[in-house]
Amino acid sequence: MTNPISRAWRKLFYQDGGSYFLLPKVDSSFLDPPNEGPFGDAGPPVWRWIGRMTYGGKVATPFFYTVIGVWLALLTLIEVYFFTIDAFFGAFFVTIMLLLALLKFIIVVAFFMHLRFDKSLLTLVFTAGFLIAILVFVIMLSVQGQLTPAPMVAP
Amino acid sequence: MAQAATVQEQHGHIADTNTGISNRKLLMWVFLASDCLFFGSFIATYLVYRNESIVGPYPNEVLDIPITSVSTFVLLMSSLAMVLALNYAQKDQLGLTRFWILAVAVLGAIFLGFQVFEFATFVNEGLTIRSNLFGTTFFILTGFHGLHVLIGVLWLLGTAFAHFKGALTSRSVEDLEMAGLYWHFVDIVWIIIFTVIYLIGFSDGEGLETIEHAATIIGG
Amino acid sequence: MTTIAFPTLISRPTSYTGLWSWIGTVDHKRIGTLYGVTAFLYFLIGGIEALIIRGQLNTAENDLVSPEIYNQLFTMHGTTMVFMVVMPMSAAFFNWMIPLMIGARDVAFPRLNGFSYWAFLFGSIFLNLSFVLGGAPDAGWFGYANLTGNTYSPGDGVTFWALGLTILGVASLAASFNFVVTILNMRAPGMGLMKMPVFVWMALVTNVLMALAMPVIAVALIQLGLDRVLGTNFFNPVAGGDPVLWQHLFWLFGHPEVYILILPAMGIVSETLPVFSKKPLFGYPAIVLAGAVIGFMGWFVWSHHMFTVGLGPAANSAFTISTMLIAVPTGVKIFNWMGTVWGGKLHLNTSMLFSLGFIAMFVIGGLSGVTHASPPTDAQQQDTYYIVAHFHYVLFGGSILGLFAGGYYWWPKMTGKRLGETIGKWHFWTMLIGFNLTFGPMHWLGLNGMPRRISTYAEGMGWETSNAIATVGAMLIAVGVLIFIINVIRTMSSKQKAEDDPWDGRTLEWSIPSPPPAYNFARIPQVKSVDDFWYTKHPELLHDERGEQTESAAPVEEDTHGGGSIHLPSMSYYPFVVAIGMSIGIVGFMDIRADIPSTDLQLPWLSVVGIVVGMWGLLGWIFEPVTAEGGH
Repeated sequence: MTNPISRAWRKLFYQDGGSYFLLPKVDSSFLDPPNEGPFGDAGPPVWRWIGRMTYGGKVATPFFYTVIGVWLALLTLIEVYFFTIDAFFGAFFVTIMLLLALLKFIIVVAFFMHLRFDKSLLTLVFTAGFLIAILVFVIMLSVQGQLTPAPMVAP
Repeated sequence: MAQAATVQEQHGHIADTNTGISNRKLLMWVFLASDCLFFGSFIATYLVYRNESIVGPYPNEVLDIPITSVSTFVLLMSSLAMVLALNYAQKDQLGLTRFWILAVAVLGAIFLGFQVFEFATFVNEGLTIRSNLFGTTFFILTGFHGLHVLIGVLWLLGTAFAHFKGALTSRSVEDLEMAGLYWHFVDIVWIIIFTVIYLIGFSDGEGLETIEHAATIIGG
Repeated sequence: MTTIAFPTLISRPTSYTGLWSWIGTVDHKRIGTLYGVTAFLYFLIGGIEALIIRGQLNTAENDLVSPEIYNQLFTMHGTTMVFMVVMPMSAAFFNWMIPLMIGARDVAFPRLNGFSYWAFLFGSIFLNLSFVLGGAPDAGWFGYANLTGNTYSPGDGVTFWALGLTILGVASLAASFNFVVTILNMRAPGMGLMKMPVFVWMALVTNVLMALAMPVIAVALIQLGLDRVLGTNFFNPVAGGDPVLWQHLFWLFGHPEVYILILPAMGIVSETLPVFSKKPLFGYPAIVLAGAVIGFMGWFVWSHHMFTVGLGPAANSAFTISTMLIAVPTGVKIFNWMGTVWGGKLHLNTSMLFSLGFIAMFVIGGLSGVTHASPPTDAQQQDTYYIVAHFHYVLFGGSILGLFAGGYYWWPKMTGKRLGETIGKWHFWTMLIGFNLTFGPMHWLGLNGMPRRISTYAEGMGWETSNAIATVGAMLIAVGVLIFIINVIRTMSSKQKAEDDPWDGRTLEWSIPSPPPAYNFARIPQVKSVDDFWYTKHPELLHDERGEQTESAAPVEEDTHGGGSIHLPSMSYYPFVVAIGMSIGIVGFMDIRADIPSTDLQLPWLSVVGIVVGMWGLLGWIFEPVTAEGGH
């Protein structure tokens, strides 16, 4: 059973109770977030850097959350400011605004709703719902021809 | 084999779960995933009808970006207050927990007040759920969001009054966490609504004039 | 439990027998039985509606029923069969079998489970009351806008439909959350996701689909209901509203719904085929993966219901491709089932016959489905009897036959008595022959141009013979159902007692007594491999069939927790109260009508009553401990 093809075959068609699709081993008393990147310790240094920057401390402190809240407020200010100079961005305005909204969305979900610190299954569950919603409604809007960023002007 | 050990320690404790996530928390997240589709449908409906109203008032005649920016800020800060309340609850600091929960409820109520004010202004300007497609889709979408906020406020007040008279228990902290997840979700829905419907929907590509236009509406 | 004392609003039910014990029940097995009995009654009602339809179409220019009644009949037939028969019948099997198959003592939220059933019951009763309260809905089970607007549907029927289905949607949502959490969180020690029985896997996919698809139809129904009662403009073309939006929202829900209807049946035959072939399921990971892929891809095919709307060549091409692609995982499943049966020692009992019938009929329905995945052919087949033939082959030939297979398979476990085999085979053959006589000719009728949803047709179209055959077939199906009822009555009145494991089963539910005790498992099993019970019985097969080292099963440890006492959730009336309150609250919107100015913006007083009752029940629910005093 050393050749890779037969190993792949076994993996697909024999159920040997191996680890794939088993949920990650968890310890329910484990509350503190690990100081690691969003993809574990693997990956390029940038993941580890993101991991350190978003790590909330052994127990995330009110200060940590307040900083996050300030960031959210700043992003909202930036959004409103960009709105006032929308002509500057031209056709990219909608994209930029959506990216800013997505950033705020991710910050709230990851830190305020603790997905960054919580079991990855919860991220999977929520991402499934969110992604399916985004995908089907974007497809629906494009089928309906409503994705062109035409400005709303009163006749 | 080794994998039997993963759940071995649960032996005898029916309350423990395979995933290490409590049943209620998992239920909450499945519900939130499901709610994504609920609000997604309403937002998509709004976008499908974005330029389709036959008669006015049109969005850029009634939408009030400065005021809504303030109410958006209020809701965002209520989310911060919520996470602080939970943080203090987990640290067993009852007084601060209570304070921040009340802050969340008050901020939520202020947001609702803004919404009532906004709705009343729009109706005065001739926009009702029957007047055109914009009125229909806008009022029903933001109305359902407001309903969620209202339920959230009641839920938080209920949690505060029911569970926080005596000492904090792990059960009551979990209750607060559930209410918190719901509250943050209401907040992220508003993040999307504010950007997509107010900022992008209002934008006419003419820069600062829109704000001045909005200012004239407030003035007039 | 709670830190403050809250006045007890209603005392808990105490007796475990009698009517009140059923109303207050939180036992997943009893709730499953309630679902099953209710769904079967609706199966009879929907069947009678179908028989009247067939009677009307028996000859050309028949006048058995008026066109108005005919519209109500086919609308309610579709709505009943989809929302009140196949879905709750699947829910019955989910309720009964998921906890038993994963080695749990109940579902994750027993009271929520009760609420789901009662909400389903009240919603469905409300929907069917429309027959006597001013006319049933008559706009088709898909309720296309703007036919459903007040202008074209002036009666109350469509309002009944929108509000009733909203209640059913809430019931399905609550049930789906419950089952997802149960499956993910309540498995026996050692049962990884890839060691779950395939039925549980398909239940997981189905319930995830339900949790994500039901909100979409709920929004569509809310919009329709608001259009009708408050005069909003969602689907009002006069104000610029686009009826195609309804089609998008409906089929966005509708296509995942198709898989919600068929995946449970696929799960059932994935259990019966290995047991009655005496072989392990061929390609367990492939069949699981195929189910999950179907669940994902099912989201991206909805516009194939709308090829004739005129969405443009780009959209039609994209949805053609995705629709044809989704046939691939379905085909994977079919080949896996064939691989399971191939070379097995087949036991051709009734359950196995129904399972094999399921595969054959589902293949026919699947193939005719591929034919209208292509827009040009679909343009010919749209709204003809070809479509009727297709979806009856997948929903009757697929779902219903699969559910009957599950019924015969699990009947001994659920009741402790085996359904009669000889009479069961009579049931199978009458039903299979009747089914093919009914829906086979509809292929030809449809290709010949006979339109759906038309109450009669002119003489000389060449459709009389096929329609007459179809009517005979429908009566044969009715005879089959009667035979089944006789079988059930005879079985239940007999004194026989089924063994705990009559079929030499493979999964955990056969390891406990038939019928199971209230606590299901005296001790929670330890699972080591897929089909764990089978390898506990036949440890010598572990190496041959799984390639694993022969190894005796892990010694079962005594469950010493709580000194051997098993604590179960206590009964509660509050789910019933909340379901009543919510149903009344939603029904209350019947009071207002947008097109009657005198009642304009009238307060829906019934809703207020409903909300008060619902809140009262909810408070009681929240403050009632899960387990009564004395438990822990």
